[in-house]
Amino acid sequence: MRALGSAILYLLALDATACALLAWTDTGPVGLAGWAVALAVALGVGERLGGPFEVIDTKRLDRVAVFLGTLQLSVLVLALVLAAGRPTPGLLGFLAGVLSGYQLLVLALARLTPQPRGVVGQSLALVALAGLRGGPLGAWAASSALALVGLYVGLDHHSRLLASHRLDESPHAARALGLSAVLVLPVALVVGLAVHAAAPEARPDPPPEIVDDGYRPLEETPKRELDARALRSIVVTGLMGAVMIYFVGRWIVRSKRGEKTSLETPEPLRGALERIRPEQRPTRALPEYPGRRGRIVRAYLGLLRGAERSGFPRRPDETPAEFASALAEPHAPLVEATDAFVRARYGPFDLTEGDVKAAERGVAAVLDHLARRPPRRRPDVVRDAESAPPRET
Amino acid sequence: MDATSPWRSFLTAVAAMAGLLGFASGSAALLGFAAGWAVLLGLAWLVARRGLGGLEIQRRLPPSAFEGDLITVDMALENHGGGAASFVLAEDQFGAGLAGRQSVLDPGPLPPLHRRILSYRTFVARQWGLYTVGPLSIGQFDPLGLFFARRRMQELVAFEVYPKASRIEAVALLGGRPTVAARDVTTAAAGQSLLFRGVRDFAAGDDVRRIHWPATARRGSPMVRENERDLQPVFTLFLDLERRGRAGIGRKSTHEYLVRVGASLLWTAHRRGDAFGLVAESDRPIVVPPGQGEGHLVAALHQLVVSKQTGGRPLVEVVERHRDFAPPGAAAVLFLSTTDVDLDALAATIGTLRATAAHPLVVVVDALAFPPVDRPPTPVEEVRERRSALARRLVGLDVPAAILGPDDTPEDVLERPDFLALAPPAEAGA
Repeated sequence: MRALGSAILYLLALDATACALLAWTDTGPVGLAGWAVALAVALGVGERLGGPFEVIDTKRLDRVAVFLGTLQLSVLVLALVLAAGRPTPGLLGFLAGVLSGYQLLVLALARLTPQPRGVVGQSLALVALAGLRGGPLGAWAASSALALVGLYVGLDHHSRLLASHRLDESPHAARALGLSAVLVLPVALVVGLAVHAAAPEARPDPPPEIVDDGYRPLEETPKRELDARALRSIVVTGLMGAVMIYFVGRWIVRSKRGEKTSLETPEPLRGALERIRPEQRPTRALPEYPGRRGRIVRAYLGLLRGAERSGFPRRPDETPAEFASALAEPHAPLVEATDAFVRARYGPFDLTEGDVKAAERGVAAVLDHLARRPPRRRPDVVRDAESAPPRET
Repeated sequence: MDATSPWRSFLTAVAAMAGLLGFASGSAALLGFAAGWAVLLGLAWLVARRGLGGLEIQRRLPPSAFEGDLITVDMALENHGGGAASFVLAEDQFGAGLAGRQSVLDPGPLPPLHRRILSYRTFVARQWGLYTVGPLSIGQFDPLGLFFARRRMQELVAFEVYPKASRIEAVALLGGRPTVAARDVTTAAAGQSLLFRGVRDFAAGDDVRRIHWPATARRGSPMVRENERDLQPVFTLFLDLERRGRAGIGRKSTHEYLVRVGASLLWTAHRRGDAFGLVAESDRPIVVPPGQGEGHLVAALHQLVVSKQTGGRPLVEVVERHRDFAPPGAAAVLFLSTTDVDLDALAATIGTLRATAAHPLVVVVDALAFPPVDRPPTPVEEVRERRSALARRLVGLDVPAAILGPDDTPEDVLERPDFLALAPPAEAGA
C-alpha cells in the first residue's frame, strides 16, 4: 500500500508541475520528460531517506518539520500573494519554475514527517498557478489534483488504520483504493466538467507593452511592476508571518499533547465468518426441481390436483404408494406415474426423456380416467395446521 | 488510532486559500477545486454515518477474574444491513486493564446477514475490586478517513477482580476428613450422605420426601428415612470485619490483608474439594453457607471484595452466633483483624469449637502495628505486648495460628509450609 501511495504522490507532483509549467512557460515534451525523471529521482531519494529519518528522535523531527513547513508555507503564501495581484505571464512563469524546483527538495524530504503534507501543499500551489491560467488546462489541473489528493489521502488513511491495528496491508490495498475512488472520482469528474463549462478558454496574455521613448518629466516615469519598497514590505511581512506561524504551530502541537487517552490495539483475533440465520417464517412453498425431475414432479402434482378436484385429495400423512393404493384405479398408469415420481423425487439416478414421457402419459391417463369415472369421495381430510381454516367455537 | 484526520484541517485550509485566491483572481479552476473539496467533505461526513446503519455488536466475557489473569473478550459484529461493511472498528473499555480503550478492527468485507467474532485479549492489571467494562461502541471512518462516526451499542457491565489466590500449603497439610463415598468435588451433596442409617418416627419439620412409605404402612404412623451424617470436609472462614481493626492505607492495610488472605484460604479449600463457607459481619451480616463448586467460590469471593470494615461486633460473638456453620469435623478459621482481642473470650470460643469436634485455626492481622487511620498511634511497647500475649495464649492452646504484621507480604507468607506454626514469643531478656 505504501508503494501505491508513493506512486500516487509522484503522479500528483508530476501532474501539478506539468500543469504549472505548461500554463506559464514554454516547456516542451522533452522538458516535461526531464522534470518527470527529476521528480522520480527526488522521490526515490526521499523514500530512501525514510529509514534514516525514523531513527531521529521524534521531538527533534517534529521541530525540524515545523520549521521546514513554516518556511515552505511562507514561500507559498508569498508566491500566491504575488500571483493574486496583477501578475504578468513572466512573473507567473518565474514562480512556476521556482516552485517546481522547490518541489524536488520537498519530494526528497517527503518522509521527514509521517504525512507528506509538504508534497501535497507544494503540488496544490502549482495547481493554483495552473488554475490561474484557466481553460482546459485549469479544469484538468483542478480535477486531477482533487482526484489524486483524494486517492492519496484515502490510501494513507487505510494504511495507518491497518498498521495501527497490526494487520497486513496487502490483502486490503485494492479495496481501500476502490472505496476511495468511488467517493473521489465522481466529484473530481464533475468539478472538471463544471470548471471547463464555466471557463472554456484560457486567460489571454496581456497585450505587449509599447515602450514610449518620448520625453516625460521625471515624476511621470512609469513605475516598475514591483518597486523595491513594496517588495521589502512583502518580504518583511512574510518573515514575520512565518515566525508567528512557527510559534502558533508549536503551541498547538504542545497543547494537544496531554489530551490523548491511552489506546490499546490488541493482537487482532478474527473468528470465522458466520451467517446470521434470517428471521423469516418457514416457507411451505414447494422446492424447485429443475430439468426432467421437475417435469415429472410437476406432472405428478397435476395428478394430485386432479384427484383433489374429483373429491379424492391426498391425506398429508400418505406416501405416494399409499395414495396410489387408496385411489386404486386406473391401476397401471397410476403405478407408472407414482414410480416415476418416487424416482424423480427421491432417486439418485438421472432420469431419461423416456421416463418423463412415461410419467406424463401415466398422469394424463389417470386424469382422463378420473374425469370419466370420478372416484368415491373421501370424507374427512385432515389438513396441516397452517392450511386448515380456523375452527368455529 | 486517533479519530481526527491529519489531513482534514490541512486540506480544508488549502482549499479555503484556493477559494480565496480564485475569488480574488476570478479563476474558475480554483473556485471549482475549493467547491469540490467542500462537496467531498460533505459526502465523507455522510458516508461515515451511513456506514454504521445495520451494524450490531454484542460482547461476551466472563463476569470475574483473578488479578493478573489473561482475559479474552469476544465481540460478535453482525451486519443486518443491505450492503457489505468494511473497516469497522469495535471499541471497548476494559476497566480492569491498563489501557483506556481497546480497539479492534475488522477490515471486512462483512457481507449482509453475516456475523464475525472479533476478540481481544487483555491482562487484568488492576487490583481486586469492582470495575466496569464498556461502553462498547462501533465506529467507522469514511473512505478518506476525514470523519469518524461512532455509535454506542452497550452500556456498562460490572466486572469483578478477585485477589490473586495462593495455595496455602499449611492449610492443605491439615487435611480434611474423607467422605465415606466417592464424590464429584464440584457437585454439592447438600449434606445428604448416601448411606442409609435407618428409619424413625416423623417429627415436625421433616421433609415429606423423606417419608419411608413401606415402614409407614407397617407401623401405621409416618416414618422417615434417616441417613448417615455426612462426613464431607467443611471449611468455614469466620472473618473479622469489626471497625476497630481498620488500619493502614492501600496495599499495606488490614482490609487488604483480610481480603487477600481470605481469598487464598477459600481458594485452598475449594481446590481441596471441601465444602467451604464464609461468615462475617460488617454493617450487615455476610453468610455464605458451606458449599462447593466454582459458582460457590465466586459467590464467596464476591462477598469478600465488596466487604467493608464497618462491623460493630467482635469476631468471637460472630462465631457464637453462627456456630452451626462449623459442624463436627469442620475446619473453622478465625481470621482476626487485630491483636487487641479479649483473650479469654477467644480461648472460650476455641474451646467451644473443639468441643463440637471442629478444628479451629487462628490467623491474626496485627492492626496495631499498621499506621493508624482513625485513632491515635499505639505505643510500640503495647503493640509488642499485645502480640506476645496473643501468641503465648494461642501457643498455649495448641491451635494452628499465624500473626501477620505490616512487614509480612501475604503472597510470600501464605506459601510457607510453616505458615500456621506460630512460634512462642521470645521472653524479655532471653
